[in-house]
Amino acid sequence: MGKILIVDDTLFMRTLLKNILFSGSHDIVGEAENGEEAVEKFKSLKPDLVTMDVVMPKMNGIEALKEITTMNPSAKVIMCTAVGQEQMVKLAIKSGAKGYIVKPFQAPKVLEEVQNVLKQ
Amino acid sequence: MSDDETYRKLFVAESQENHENLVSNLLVLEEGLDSNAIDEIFRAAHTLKGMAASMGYDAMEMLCHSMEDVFDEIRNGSKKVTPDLVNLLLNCTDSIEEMLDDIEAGGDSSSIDATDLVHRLIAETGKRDLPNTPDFDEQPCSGKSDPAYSTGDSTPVQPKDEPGSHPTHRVTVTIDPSSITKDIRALMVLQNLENAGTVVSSRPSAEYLEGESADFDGMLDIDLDSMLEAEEITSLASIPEVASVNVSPITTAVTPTGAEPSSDTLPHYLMRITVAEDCTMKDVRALIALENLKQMATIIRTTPKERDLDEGNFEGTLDIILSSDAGREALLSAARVTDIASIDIDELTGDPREWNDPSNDLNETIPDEKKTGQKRQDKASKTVHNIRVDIHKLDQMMTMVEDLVINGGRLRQLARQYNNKEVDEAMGMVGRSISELQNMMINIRMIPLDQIFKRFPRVVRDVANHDGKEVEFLMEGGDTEMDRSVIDGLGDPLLHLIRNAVNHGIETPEERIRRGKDPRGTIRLRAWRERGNVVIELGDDGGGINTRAVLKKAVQRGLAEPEAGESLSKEEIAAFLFQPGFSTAETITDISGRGVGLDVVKSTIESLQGSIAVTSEEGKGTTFTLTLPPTMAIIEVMMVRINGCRCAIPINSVVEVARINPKDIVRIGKSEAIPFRDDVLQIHRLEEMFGSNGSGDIIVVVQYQGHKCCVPVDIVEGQQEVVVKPLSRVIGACRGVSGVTIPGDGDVIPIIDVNTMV
Repeated sequence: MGKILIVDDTLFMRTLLKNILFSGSHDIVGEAENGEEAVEKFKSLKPDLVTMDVVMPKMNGIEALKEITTMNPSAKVIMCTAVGQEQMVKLAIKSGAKGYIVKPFQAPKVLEEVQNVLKQ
Repeated sequence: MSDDETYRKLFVAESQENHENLVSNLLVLEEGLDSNAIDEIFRAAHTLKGMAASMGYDAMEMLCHSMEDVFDEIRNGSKKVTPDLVNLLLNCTDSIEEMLDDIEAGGDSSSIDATDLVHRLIAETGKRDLPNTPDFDEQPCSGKSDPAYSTGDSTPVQPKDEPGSHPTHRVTVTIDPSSITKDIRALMVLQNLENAGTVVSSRPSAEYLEGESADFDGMLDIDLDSMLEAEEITSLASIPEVASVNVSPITTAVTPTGAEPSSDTLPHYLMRITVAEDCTMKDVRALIALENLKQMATIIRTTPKERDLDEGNFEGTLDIILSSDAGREALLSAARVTDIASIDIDELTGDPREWNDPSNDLNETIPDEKKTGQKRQDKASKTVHNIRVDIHKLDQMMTMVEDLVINGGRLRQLARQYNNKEVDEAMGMVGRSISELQNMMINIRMIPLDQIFKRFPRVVRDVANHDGKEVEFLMEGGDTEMDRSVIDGLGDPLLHLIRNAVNHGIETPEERIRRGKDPRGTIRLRAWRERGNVVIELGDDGGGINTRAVLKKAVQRGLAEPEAGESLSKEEIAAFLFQPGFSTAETITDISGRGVGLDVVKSTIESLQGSIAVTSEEGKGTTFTLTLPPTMAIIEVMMVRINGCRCAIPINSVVEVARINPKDIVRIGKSEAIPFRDDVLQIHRLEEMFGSNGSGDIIVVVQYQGHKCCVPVDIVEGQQEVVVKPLSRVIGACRGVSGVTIPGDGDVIPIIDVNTMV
């Protein structure tokens, strides 16, 4: 079970994701509302895994991912994405994201992906 | 609260914010293409779509999705922003608002039909296959141009066809046919296998998968050069949605491994990296540069130390001693990340052991006088920590604080009763903490006026478009804070005044040109704090109030004597507009503009303990001024005693306190009155409330809506701010009392409702 940092600009999505991850007995070590906060919290909280929204104010998920993987190339970041954002996810994967989950979230798929990336 | 209910509440609250954001930025967009506005619009629409999808509100998801397509075309320049298009998009936001209202009320928004809007949006973009239509490609949302989106970006895990590599394994991967993103899964497999060794080749190629690879069938063949066992490779390739993995060995390859040259023999450099002054998170930038350098150099020492960088102790300049054979240019380019103001690099000559010795101060090694200190900064955390709290919880907390006040007061009384000074003193301290807590609670309830102001630009635009008028709407002071309950009550009256200003205040462009004015009228909404009150001013440069017509109407309605016109000031005449008799349709047409429902506006403002005034100059414009207490929870009162009982009279209704001669009191029927100055004031003894109080000689003269009367009192104790507590529902409405207040001593004091007395 991993220590997870949730990054999303809406409390709604964070709550949704948090409850799914709780149900998989994961530990939520922190939440961030934008990329800047995500980078800072990644530094201070050292989570095992980050779930990263793409579209966020201040610094978007891709920029945040890049800063995180630059700091720690083995950082485990999962992108939260929607159907239609394929090109974006590819860019994210090339930039070091280890997985992705698609909105609307399905709990089993989310848990499977998280589990899988944590195992890597 | 159930999970569903929690999600619904969160969904509504955040969707409303995004909806407002969408509307206000659409209005900005209408004024001219603005890249920040379009970015914000994208983010808002996208967030709405994502949340609606998660809640299963399909119609809203579809509507937002179709809107995104239109925004995409606006952004890439293939669609022009026309008034018609903005109208359509605003209609869509109206529909979203209706859906949100329905959801908030417990519905599922399915009763709101947006199909027509979706079709009109599709007609705008020509995209037919809605749900499968690729989204906008998530361009910069941070409001700045973003190199991260260019495909030529450097990639840390780029598959490479190394000429020296020989495939050792053939990996055949089949992606689950039900996967909606087979190409991405295939790419992820490729990425994972990169960790196992070198991908010599793949069919289809990584480039194909990275591009528009919608027709990818899910079969991937990879030739891999790896030292790993087949099982390990299988495990790496077995990611979610992979149906099968087959690994077969091809041949054995030798992976060349060269011994790293000793860092002592390599050239040594001193680098000074200065991060741009306006960069946020300078330490992170410096860290990124340092991390990049580590890829090609051995870092010998840094100032400040890396640990300090990690802790945020960084002032903007990082000095690094490193050894590397990568060359000056490569080092410079590795360190040149975003927001780096300058990089200096010097090759060091001399004995490497000197620089390598950590006991040597790097500052002394550095020729430059400009040294980076390691001063610890007492940096306040930059993160803003906001939480959402249900207003009812705040109300509950407020009630609890008030209970604390009452019980604290009782304890203090007991302490005095038993003559226990120590307890009394201790309770005094507790009392101070309680009143601080009370003040803090009141502050927490304050929200900025922007909460209602941001609705208004849309209203002005719609009314102006409807009436064929040109209006510039300016707002100032939206950050002025007021209690949530006051703000809630202010929305409708202000909306009314603003509609009136556009509708009846501002003239048509033709009329304005005829009068020698700018065809575009101006409406200005301003708010500021003034002597404990909040003043909200709404001014227009329209036609102003036709005082003759108002006076004529007032005379017709019996509100003024026909001959009164001479003696009344402009303001007094304009004040007739607030009389209930003026809110008729007839008034709208025969007075140049004003008077529609202003009585309602006035009574609402007064119910918020505020006042409203109007000034106007014919032909030049009209200004309404609202003065309100920032919070209803606290009002200033005059504390008096009537027949020995304490009670409070709101200071805004007190005219004066005077001493009278009881002999002057005259009886008129059942009631009593007294000639006072030029008036005859009715006397209210409030005997029903406080019992007979004999014949005191002090009166408090009170006034409501211009009517005066007086209340005899035993004594005036003084003036003070008190916290108003509404009457309990158990007591019900109690004529003459608007609420109670409980001062520190725990006494319960009624607040007189002058309104029902006059």
